[in-house]
Amino acid sequence: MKWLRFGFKMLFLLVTMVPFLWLILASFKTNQELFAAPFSLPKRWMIENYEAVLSSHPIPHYFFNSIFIAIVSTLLGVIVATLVSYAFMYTFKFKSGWLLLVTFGIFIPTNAFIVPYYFIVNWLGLYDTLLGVALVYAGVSLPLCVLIVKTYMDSIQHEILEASFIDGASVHRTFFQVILPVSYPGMTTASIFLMITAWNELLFASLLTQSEATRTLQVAIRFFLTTFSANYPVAFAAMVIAIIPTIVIYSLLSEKIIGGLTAGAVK
Amino acid sequence: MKRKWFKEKAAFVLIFILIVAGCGSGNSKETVTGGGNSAASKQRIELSMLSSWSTDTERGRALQAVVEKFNQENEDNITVKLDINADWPSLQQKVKTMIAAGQTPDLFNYNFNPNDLSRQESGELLDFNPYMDEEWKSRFTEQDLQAMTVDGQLTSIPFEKAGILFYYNKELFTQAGIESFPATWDEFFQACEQLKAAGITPISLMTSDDAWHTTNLFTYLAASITGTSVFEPGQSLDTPEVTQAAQYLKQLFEYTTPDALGGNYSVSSNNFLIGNTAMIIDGPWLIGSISEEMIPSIGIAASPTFGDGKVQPGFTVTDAHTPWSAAKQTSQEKEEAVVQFLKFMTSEESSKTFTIDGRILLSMRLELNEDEVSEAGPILGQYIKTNSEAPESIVNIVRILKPAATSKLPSLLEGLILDKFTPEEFAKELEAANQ
Repeated sequence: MKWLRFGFKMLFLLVTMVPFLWLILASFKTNQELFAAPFSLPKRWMIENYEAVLSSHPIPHYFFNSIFIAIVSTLLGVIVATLVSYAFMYTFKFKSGWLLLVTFGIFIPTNAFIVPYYFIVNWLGLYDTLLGVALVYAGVSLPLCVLIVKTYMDSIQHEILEASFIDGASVHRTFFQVILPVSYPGMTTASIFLMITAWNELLFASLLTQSEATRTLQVAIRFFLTTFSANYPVAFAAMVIAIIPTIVIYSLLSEKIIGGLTAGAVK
Repeated sequence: MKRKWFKEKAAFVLIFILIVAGCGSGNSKETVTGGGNSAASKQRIELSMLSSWSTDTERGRALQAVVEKFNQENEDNITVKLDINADWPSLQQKVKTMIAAGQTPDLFNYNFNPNDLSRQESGELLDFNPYMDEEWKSRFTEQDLQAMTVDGQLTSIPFEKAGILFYYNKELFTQAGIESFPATWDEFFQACEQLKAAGITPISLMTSDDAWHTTNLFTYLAASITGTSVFEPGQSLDTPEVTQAAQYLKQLFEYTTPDALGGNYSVSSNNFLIGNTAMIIDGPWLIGSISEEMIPSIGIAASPTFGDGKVQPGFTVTDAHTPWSAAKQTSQEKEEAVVQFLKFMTSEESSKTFTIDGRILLSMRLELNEDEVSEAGPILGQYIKTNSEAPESIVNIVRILKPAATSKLPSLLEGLILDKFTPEEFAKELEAANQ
């Protein structure tokens, strides 16, 4: 049984790690070598591919833009989703209808909103700004975030609310000092989802930005894979650089989830 | 006490939002450059130009050089601001969105498709007819101007119209005992057989995305059988000639690499570029990817024919027209600035820059002397010569199909190769998808 478990773990590791390792290996090859021998080790480790990525375009600047958008959209999305979810802890008229309205967006393909989003962002004067993109990401991801955070808050026992009110806390104080501290796991899960979505998104980043000042890393990667020339190893090098923050964020936040899950709510 | 505490929290949230808004708008521009309808400054006109040609490519560097030269010559009154989005499909989606939102970019390029006139029919594009004086008109052929005219309005200026030619590896041909590029399709099949017998894969093909290299071959075959009118709008694709072309195409898949099935442009072109295959059918942009060592081995040739006079020897398949369009302007000065820039872009001098430095084959008339042709390099020189001698041409089928048929084409081609469809069924399915 122990060996079987070990075997499954190794199989899972193989399936998840091989494409990533291949990407890293390929990012050190020449274009010719990549197509001639896609699974071999590089004859010479082409560190120049990484130098080309960093020297041909202002990648650190695009990196900052992506980080800014990911952080701002995540903060906005999680703050709003948490407030909405808290409201749903109370009873009010047409509660289930409101919930359906808020979460219905999950079922609508985002492509359907391209023109309205472009128009609204332009109208707000936020076209070609980082905040414009961040707002759209927060908005697009909000239904799912609400669902994640609300589902978590549903698991919090209502006695905690009652106890807080008996102790004389207001609705707002109950939120900040009682509900918020025990909602971190749900908020963290939503944050990971939002941050990874914002980091990897291409369509709205292309649509809502125009100048070099607001270009994101995902849009910049397309510079290495154009219609007229495709230098895959250099593009892969850019992808490896782009993947690193996602892995770091996931590694850091996933520990928070585990920590949060083990924390007790009712004492 | 409670109220004070809440006010503190609210103030914190407000300050945070203001900081975020401040950071975001720090990168914003003073004006929305896409707004063709926004009023232009009288002193200085800024034109926003959207393109996918990044400076990582030769054509991108050529475009930047032309724009910079124009800006220098007009530094007191006009500035063209070049904004690059390297992903062509995303850029096209963006342009269509901007048009739908009434914020048409001042200048943009796109692939002209007679079956998708949504841009022209939006009513948002500038009509160049009032500005088309004799001098500017003489830069183009009447046929190209006619092709860009929709409902009597010339809303696109012809620019790129690349001939697609046969690249062949002379070294591999010699190894297989072939002395020259085949002039007829019978000789072509014979050459493929000889190459295969010598252990060389004859041709690079692909089925993924727009199946570009394969559809080039298919268009050459169909035109050779029927003539260059074979895919004219309104013509049925379910014909014995198209069926026959599909039959030949299926045969030619016996002479390609195993990764052609499901392979994309990069897979197919790299097979040729690393010497895995002896031939490929592509545009002049491939030249920039050919390695220095390989350049002496590469030959350029026009298509074979069946020798029955249906097409003239030397005919070419071309890529779609990639013209430039502009937003309708409310300001007369801005409209004139757009025209002034496009006249500069299509001038003899700029055309030379685009052709020699950018390796772009243009719709504009261009006379290159011997020195200029040799300056273009051995392959591009040959390419320009072969392309300019073409007596007639036809646009690649994938550029004239309706979007539904274009998206279905890869699966139809794979079905044909894998015997899921007969050539007759292939033609029938293609016609049905194109309705």
